[in-house]
Amino acid sequence: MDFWSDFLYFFSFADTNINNVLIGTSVLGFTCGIVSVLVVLSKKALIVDAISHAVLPGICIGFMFTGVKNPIYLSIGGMAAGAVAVYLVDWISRISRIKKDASIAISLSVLFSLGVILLNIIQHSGNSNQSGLTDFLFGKAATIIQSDLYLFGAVFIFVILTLLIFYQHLKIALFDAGFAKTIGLSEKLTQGLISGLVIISTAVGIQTVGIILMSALLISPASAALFWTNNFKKAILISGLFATLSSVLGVFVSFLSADMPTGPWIIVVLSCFALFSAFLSKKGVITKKIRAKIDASYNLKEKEN
Amino acid sequence: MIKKVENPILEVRDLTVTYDSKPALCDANFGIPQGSMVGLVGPNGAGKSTLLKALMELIPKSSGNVKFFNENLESVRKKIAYVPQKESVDWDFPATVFDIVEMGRYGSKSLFKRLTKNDKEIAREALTKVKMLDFADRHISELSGGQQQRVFIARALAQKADVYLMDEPFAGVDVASEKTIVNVLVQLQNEGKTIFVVHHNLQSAAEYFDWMILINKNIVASGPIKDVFTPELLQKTYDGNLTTLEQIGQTIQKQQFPIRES
Repeated sequence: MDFWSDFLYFFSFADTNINNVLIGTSVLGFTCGIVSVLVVLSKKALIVDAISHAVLPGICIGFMFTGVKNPIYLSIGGMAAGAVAVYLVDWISRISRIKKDASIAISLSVLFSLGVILLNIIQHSGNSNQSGLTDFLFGKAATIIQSDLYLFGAVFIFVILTLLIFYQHLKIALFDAGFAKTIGLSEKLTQGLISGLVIISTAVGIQTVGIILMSALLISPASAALFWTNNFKKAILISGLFATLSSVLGVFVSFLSADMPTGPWIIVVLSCFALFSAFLSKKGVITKKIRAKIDASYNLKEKEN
Repeated sequence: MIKKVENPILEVRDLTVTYDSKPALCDANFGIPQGSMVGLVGPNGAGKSTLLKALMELIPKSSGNVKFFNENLESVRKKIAYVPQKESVDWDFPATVFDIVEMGRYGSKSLFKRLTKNDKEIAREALTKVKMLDFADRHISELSGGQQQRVFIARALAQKADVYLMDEPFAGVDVASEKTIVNVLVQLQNEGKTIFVVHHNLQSAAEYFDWMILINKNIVASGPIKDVFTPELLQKTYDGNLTTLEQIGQTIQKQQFPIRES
């Protein structure tokens, strides 16, 4: 089959398996893209990395307790571990002289190594259900089936509703936390909302891109989107669209060639969007330079006249 | 010298704030009369911003209590507007000038309502007062330092408060912005509002304020400017710091022999 017949087949949405993967990754992409704006604007990119790595031991423990690879149990385990990570980072930097960045790195490595150890124990436990648990490391979008879509859909709706309800609160607090506090908005609620949304979207998002690349899905979309708009609402939409589009293209690339992994391709496409935005958007580095040059030569001509 | 105030609009008792068990502010006691324009003056690291943040409960206090209108902050939040230092936020945030000023119209209980025409009118009025209406649709990253400060003040004006607490509103601000801001403050005072400003420039302090608090970890003095702005008290506040003392000398000379403008 040549490229165009592949292309037509893929986008004719005739294949149910492909559709499941496509819908699943798109919904997750959009969810993570939305949450991404909160992450980037609250400057929590590092904590996101700690949370996503911490999810591994949670998933392992979820599996050890139930003995089955039910996405709901695994996600609950993952969310609990993510919450532990948030608490740990906060606790270490509060009780000791260790600064926040160091305590993030410590939490990340401790929890991730714990996860790898648990993963090894599970692999040697003889439970035949365990095969495929390692997929959580790099993600395996191809394994998304219809029952997963309900979970993704539920998370998507939850994230959207939370954002709609707390839209104004988040907007005010993300811009100026001090002011928000003085008008009576709870800082704990703000932090809880952001951490909660990150944990939830991470716990399900790792299905497509995996633990190691998860932070990219929660950082790059907003980083790219913020170059294109000065409007909070539009930033959220554009960020969601970037992540969705990357997901579709990533799935398409791995459909074209069986050797190509989906998750890493999603992130590669997403990073291209981010780089493109950083250089060539209206606020981009190159665009600004070109504009400065044009202005300079215009001024020169004015002077000559 | 702490002047006693009858029926103060803001009263602080035994307020102590510590950072990492080091005291940043010790045992502050003072009151402020309604309708005054108060300057909070002291050297760097004297605890000026700390005091302001403690009043707004942005940082925890170790001991003491603070009363606005004889009540706790929680029950009178709506009557108090706070203007943080403009460096405390990221001005790349995706919002326009008008978006920011609008935020002054929300409170913790009115987060879910839609802003009415009246709210928008109040925001526009606030922008007009700080001469920023033409910039309403500009993105906030395109503003100069002085314009950023004026946007912050407009947001506070939109709150329609009775007491305004401002942290260094004149720091890093151009002359035109400073003039505009001073005019806004005078106008507020004429409307009977109380204004409390952290200020670092002694030269202009004497000109702007009618009540002054001198602070250096402790409250050195609090009272009408003519009683507080004296060489002895200023020296005590700046504890023999040479460059500042010179500045004080110049300022006081200027006060005693005002240069007449023809």
